[in-house]
Amino acid sequence: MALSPRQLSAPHLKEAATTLSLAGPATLAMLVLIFIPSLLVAVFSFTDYQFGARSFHWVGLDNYVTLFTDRTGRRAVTNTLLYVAVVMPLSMIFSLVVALGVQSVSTWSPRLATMLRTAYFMPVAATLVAMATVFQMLLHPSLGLINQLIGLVGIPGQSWLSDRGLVLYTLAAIGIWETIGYNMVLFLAGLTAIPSQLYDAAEIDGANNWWDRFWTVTWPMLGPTTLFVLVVTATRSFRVFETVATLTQGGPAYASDTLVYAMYREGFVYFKAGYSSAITVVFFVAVLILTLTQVRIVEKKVHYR
Amino acid sequence: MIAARYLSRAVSLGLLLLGAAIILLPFFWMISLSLKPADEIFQDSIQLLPSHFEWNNYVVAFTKMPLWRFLINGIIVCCGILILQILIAVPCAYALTQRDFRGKAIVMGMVLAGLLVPYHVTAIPLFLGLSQLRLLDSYAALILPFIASVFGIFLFRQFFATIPKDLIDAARVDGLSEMSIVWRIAFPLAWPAATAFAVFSVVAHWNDLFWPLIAVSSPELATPPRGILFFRDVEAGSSFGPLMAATAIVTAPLVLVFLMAQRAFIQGLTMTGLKG
Amino acid sequence: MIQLKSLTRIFDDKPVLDAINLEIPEGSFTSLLGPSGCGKSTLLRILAGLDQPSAGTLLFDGEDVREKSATLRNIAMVFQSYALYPHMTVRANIGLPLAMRSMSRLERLPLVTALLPSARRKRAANGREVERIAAMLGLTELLERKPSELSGGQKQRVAVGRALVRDPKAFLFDEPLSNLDTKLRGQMREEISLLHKQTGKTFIYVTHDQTEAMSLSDQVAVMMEGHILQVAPPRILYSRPANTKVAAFVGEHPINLLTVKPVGTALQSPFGAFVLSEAWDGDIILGLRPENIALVENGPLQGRVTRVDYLGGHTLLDVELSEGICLRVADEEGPLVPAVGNVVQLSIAPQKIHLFKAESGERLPLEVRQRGEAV
Repeated sequence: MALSPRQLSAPHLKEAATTLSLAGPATLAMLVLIFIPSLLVAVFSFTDYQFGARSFHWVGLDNYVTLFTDRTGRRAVTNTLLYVAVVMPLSMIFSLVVALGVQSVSTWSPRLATMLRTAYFMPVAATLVAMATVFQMLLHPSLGLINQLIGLVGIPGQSWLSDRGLVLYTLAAIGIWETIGYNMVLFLAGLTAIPSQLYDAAEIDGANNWWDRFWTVTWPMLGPTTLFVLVVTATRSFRVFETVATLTQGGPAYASDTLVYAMYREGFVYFKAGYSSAITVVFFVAVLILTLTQVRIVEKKVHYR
Repeated sequence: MIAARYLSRAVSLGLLLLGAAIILLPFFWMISLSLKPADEIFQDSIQLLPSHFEWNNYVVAFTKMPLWRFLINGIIVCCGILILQILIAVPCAYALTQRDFRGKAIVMGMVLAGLLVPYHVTAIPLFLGLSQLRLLDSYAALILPFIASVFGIFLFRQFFATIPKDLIDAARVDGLSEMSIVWRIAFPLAWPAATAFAVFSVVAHWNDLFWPLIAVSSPELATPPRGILFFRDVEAGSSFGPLMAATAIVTAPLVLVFLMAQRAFIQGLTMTGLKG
Repeated sequence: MIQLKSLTRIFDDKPVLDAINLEIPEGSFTSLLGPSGCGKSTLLRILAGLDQPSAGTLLFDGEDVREKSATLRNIAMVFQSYALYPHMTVRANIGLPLAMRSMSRLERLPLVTALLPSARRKRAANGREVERIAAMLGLTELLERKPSELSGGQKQRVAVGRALVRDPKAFLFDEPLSNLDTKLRGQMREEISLLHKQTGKTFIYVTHDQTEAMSLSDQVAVMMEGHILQVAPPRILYSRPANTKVAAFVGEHPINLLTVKPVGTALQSPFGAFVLSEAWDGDIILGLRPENIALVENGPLQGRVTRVDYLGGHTLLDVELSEGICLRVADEEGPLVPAVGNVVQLSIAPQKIHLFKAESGERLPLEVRQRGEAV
């Protein structure tokens, strides 16, 4: 770039120096900590590089082929998708129901509504790893409280965390427990934004029970919020790691292996940096698609107002 | 009619309370177990409350494992990250809103693109880089990867954009340097953004397990979640009372802050829907 | 003395300021008057050092200050929005410029101020100065308040206090009264005028309100579309406008303008027949202010009233002269109360007629008198 004499004059150089001192550190940090590493991950994913090794080979798409053909690799992908597929809709339905309930309670007892909101939001503020160890106690196959409670109504106790067919759903249940509060708050914000005249209008127009009003006013008006919550929940579920690492470490027999956990295990337990990078790239692309959808929704949401 | 209304209220409130009880069950159980004597923790019959409060579990939690150390590590790491994030993000956000310069669009583009990158993605190269610099297994390894907070820049930028240009000009005429304007005028005005960002950052990094698991191996450097896992693995099967006491202590700081400053806390975490 | 020499500012290839030349004498009260978008605020920002000229020279006492930042120029500015720091008390708002100038970076650190004797001394001195200024502006009671707890007029005073406190070379005012209601505006105008007399400093005042500019200033620079059209004391501006644009802009009611063609020194117009002091070859625009036309019982001109606006104290009339030409008349409340449709008689003072060249709009330096009058 050619600089004109004006841009090289003393005040302009001083201005440029000031700008550099303000925006320079952040720009440098973004490059070194975000963008260069992201590019490197993509590069590593085409190699067989191992942490500590002195050399590596280019292996083309081998890592990706392994991930999608190898049984354990495929497990991580399908488990993650299944986990998201369970957590996302259930968390949304529960949190919407809770939000509607809390909203209606707030019309006759705001204090009670606040207390309920607090209770449901608690898991969001809690340290997930700590709570996972509590779940481990609750879910103990022989002496855990959960099995004792369901035993009261005659259901036999389950091996929640060591039954291959059950473990992923157990983790998903914890995932739902963890996200309901967050989604409820988002839904509550969406609900309060609905003008009350709309309900009056709907009532005059003949929607005289709660059910009709929900379908004519609440649900359509919540549309943007719902889409937003959907994608936020999906992105968060895709990142499931803490519960897996604390409770199952992907087991038994990879039955609860997920993408981020597999990335961690392959890279930092088995030191297969190349393969782990390929998992990272797949995870990144999935999250990227979701987040870009979310950004578009957010933009749309702004236009609604 | 009125009776029907009260009935429907009672039913929905009952269901909400049941749901809340399920949500709060782990918290209740954590406290209950942490106060139970060892022989009451695993029993055939359901016993919700301890027969007597076994405070000794908390004493053991602090003596058997360096729990203080974990908590102090958590504070050092969270404060270190938050302070550096703010020091780096705030001037940049100011430059992006109140100044014109070449490459502004590029920097802004980097911020928006950075929002799309989950921090898990950069783990492998950062691990490699830190090991090259012989920084692994140190506070630096726990703090440095997070100092470039694109979310912080984004959030502060939105606040700074609302500051009238006259105010910044007045400060310039009053003799403030650009750096002084950032810290004496712009930053104090963005206090709500700073609070929200602090909540977001501290919650994320106090609770994070992924990176501490990768970056440090010595127990002396463990953050609270990492420490809990050390605790559990070392004391496997023997002392659940103290383990529950430890989880209660690790969970307490954020939960207490949440209970005391709910509005700020919820806002801090939901404003950040863009980045989880 | 502040001098601007062919100062130009270009935004997006368009000149916002086009070769501005202006001299502002030391201690004068100079107004930049013009409609919004004329470039007057840009000019003020360049004077303050908040914006850089694209070309031209800016001299403070003969010294080129183009490369000096706002801080180094020692100029104070009062903004239209007051620009008070919302998170600071009135005391801190007024004291900030003092602290920034008198104390070093180290001395300003919160803890150091308490420990370092030199910092403590300076802080105490600054505190006394802030209190002196506050007393002068009647702000003593409000020192601990935040700007959000002040009324518009009080905010305005704090903004002035912040400018006053550090003894600047010049004060710049950017439409400082436009956010106040009419009554307060008059009061603040007097205070600013008093302030100018007390301080004896150079005041540069940007406004679109000619009443403010005319009543406050020693000299007024009328600006339009990036040009300065005339620089003159208010009386000259009104009595001898340099061109039709200034004539049209200055004055309570829009001036009547009419193009006529002289024959030698003879000037036959709908306003009457006049004689020019010298012959002029080319079209002439006659300018006649509505307030210089009087409604009389018996006058040389006659017309029909088409509109009446009673304004309290005087009446604005549109009078259609017989030729189908409309004349705006501002009539002092007199014995005659005209109504729409009435036929009225008018008289004109020929010495109040302004002459402009038709092709350029510039003032024509000629005298005019009624035909038949003795020279």
